[in-house]
Amino acid sequence: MRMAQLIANGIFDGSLYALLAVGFSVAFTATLFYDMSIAVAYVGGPYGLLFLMSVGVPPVPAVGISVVAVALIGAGTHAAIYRPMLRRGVPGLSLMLVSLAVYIVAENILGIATSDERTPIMLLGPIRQLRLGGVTFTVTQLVLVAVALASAGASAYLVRATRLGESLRAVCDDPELAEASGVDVSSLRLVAATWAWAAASISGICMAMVVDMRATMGLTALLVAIVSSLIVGPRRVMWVGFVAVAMGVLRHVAIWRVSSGWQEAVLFAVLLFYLVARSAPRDHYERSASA
Amino acid sequence: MGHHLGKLEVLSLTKRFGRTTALGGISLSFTPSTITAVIGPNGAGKTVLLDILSGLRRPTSGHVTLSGEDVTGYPPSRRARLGITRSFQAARVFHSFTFGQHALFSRWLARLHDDQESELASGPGQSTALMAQRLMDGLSADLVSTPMGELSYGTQRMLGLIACALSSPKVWLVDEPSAALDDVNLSRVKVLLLTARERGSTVIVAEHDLRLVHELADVVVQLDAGEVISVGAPRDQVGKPSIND
Amino acid sequence: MTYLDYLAFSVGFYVLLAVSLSFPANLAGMMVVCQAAFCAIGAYTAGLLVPSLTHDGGWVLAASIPLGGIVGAGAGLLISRMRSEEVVLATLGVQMIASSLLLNSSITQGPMGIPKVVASSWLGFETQSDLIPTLVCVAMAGGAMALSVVGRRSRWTLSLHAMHDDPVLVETMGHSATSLKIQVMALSGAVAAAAGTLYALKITYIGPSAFTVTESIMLLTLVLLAGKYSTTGSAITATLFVLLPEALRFVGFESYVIAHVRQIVFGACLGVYVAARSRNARSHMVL
Repeated sequence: MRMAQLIANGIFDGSLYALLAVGFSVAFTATLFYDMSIAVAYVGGPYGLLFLMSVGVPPVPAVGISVVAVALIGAGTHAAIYRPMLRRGVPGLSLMLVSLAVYIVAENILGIATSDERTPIMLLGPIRQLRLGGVTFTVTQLVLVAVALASAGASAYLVRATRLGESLRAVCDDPELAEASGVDVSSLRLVAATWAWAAASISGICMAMVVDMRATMGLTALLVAIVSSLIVGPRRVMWVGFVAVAMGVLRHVAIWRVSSGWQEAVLFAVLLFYLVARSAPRDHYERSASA
Repeated sequence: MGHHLGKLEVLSLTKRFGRTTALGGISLSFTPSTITAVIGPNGAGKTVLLDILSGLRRPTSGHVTLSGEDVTGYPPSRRARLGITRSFQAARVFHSFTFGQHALFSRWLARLHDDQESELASGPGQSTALMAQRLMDGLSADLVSTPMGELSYGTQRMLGLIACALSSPKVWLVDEPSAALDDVNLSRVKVLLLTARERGSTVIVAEHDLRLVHELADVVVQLDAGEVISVGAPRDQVGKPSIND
Repeated sequence: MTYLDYLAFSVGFYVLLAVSLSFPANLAGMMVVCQAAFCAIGAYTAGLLVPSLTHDGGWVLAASIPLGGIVGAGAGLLISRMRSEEVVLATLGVQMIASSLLLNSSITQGPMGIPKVVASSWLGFETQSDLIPTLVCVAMAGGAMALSVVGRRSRWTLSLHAMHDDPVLVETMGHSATSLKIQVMALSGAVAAAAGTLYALKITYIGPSAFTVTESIMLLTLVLLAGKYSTTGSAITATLFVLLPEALRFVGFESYVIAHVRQIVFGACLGVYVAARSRNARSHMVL
């Protein structure tokens, strides 16, 4: 029974990671660099929500406004910082470092604003618990899982079955050829980045309803998303979501053998193991190619 | 002379990329004091063969031996220290280095086989390294002291080839030497290749330019779709289907 | 500890750490984000050896340096075949695992940390002076910088530069890129561990909060701002990193705000610097 509860908790966490992972994958498919600043959206969403509620905005509209605001900030960041660099063909590593810089600046601004404290976001009233087959869960968790999975599913459908998704995949293969074939690569990238920030903020808001938020939590969540995306490849969006759910389950099931403090270490051990295993059989040309 | 120089052999060499077979179980022997031209259409496997001989790619199966020593599992750096030098089809230089600094690496490699240098000092003609040094000395000071990344593509290619020659290779793998070189620089490179042969090196050239092949090669290996079509003297290739057919 | 002593130690410590990271980052182009973890190896070696096994700071240093080197070499082996972005992710992972270890292991005493890390002698000379770690740290920082300046035209350094430019070409010229990466990471780990040991012996208390991913990211920022190949530049940025909060203290900010402002300033500088460099660089060149 305890294992079943751990798996259920893992599915819940993993669903929220799935949303973030799918958003990241969509952005990576279009831009081909690891945008670490998406971690800012993960914590920016809940903090924006908290601020809006503190000035009297009702919860539901506050969620919508917060997500839209974060998405717009993401669009602005992409347009002002990354787009000029992408147009110049700047290597992925440089873009990654710039995005890390954006993350550092934003995380610390949030740290000042929140005085570095853990912040509970009590969005809903008393939480109603349900019990099914020895597994306890809350209505909140059910709703959040549904939201996360629906959003992830919508993203997957977008990439897989629409003209927009076709264009995304073309850009992922060869941005220059896609541009020459009539794809508006610049706009596509802007849309993809905006969606990634929106997805990250929704994911962060969902997570904030069950754990106390801290300004530094975004990087861990984003690294889980990146691992999920790397393992199956960012274009296979649906599978990215499944792997992220599996990562969430692994994180909780690990408690069966190790104490809860080691959960993150388990996840990052998976990341490290995957990267080493992926790089081990490479020949010399592949080692120096861009990711 | 030449007992220490490199007889290079490939035995049942196969390379697959997924479902594509780039090389299909070929066996070849490359002897010292010989220029062997490897010709064939695009996708024949010429560059893949050179990549495997230099250690930059691992074969799916088969072996590579150098003077009887199985070097199949050796990394490129170890093969380079044994005397296998590789020139690339694309201009490949250290962009932030001047040619003088780049040439240091070649000289360090050459010192590893300095027995060849001392023998060459007493033998007829000039060593490849000496010839390359002469060519280098003939370059303008600006060319030698400018970061290589700021030079033209063709100049980078030529300097890359000179740098390889400075290392006094026992085996010199040259990928498309005529690419991006004007006639003046190409003639310099021809001299280097011929000098290397005179000094006993095993020279293997992957090339599309048949005129150059007929000028330089002692042996021509024709590849197509990863298979060896023919091996023989250049004159024996006359009358065979053109490589562009 | 006087204020000048504190400043001198802080400058020496961060210069030593920055120089340690400049070897892989500036010379070899490896963007390593786990330098704080290497530093923690040295610090916790001191914490575990003192006072249970020895009170001698010199012997603790002699133990931590090779240990840091071995761990650094191991990390170098793990990342030797990875592409540049993967190196960032993998070393972030190493840092996160290290942070978890420091927080949760009973050996490291978890969040409580290890107090009373006090050396009462240095290589047999009995002394209780807390100036010794400062002097040793400043001397080591100066020595590391001098070594890097003197060695900048050495074959090894040129090989690292060459590998940074083109790892495929450097292999075909007889230098193993894998071996170079392991060597440079071993050196980096060893020097960072030395810095960590001196930190522990100076502050006399170590806790996991001093060796977080934020510290590693900041260190990488300092080193990148120094410019490609520039070890001396790393020393300058490290010095500014220490002095900026002191200037902000005079403005009247609270301590926790100062820490954040410092990171904001350096983070912004990193972003601007990388973006500006990429404006002039060819597309195949990174930094």
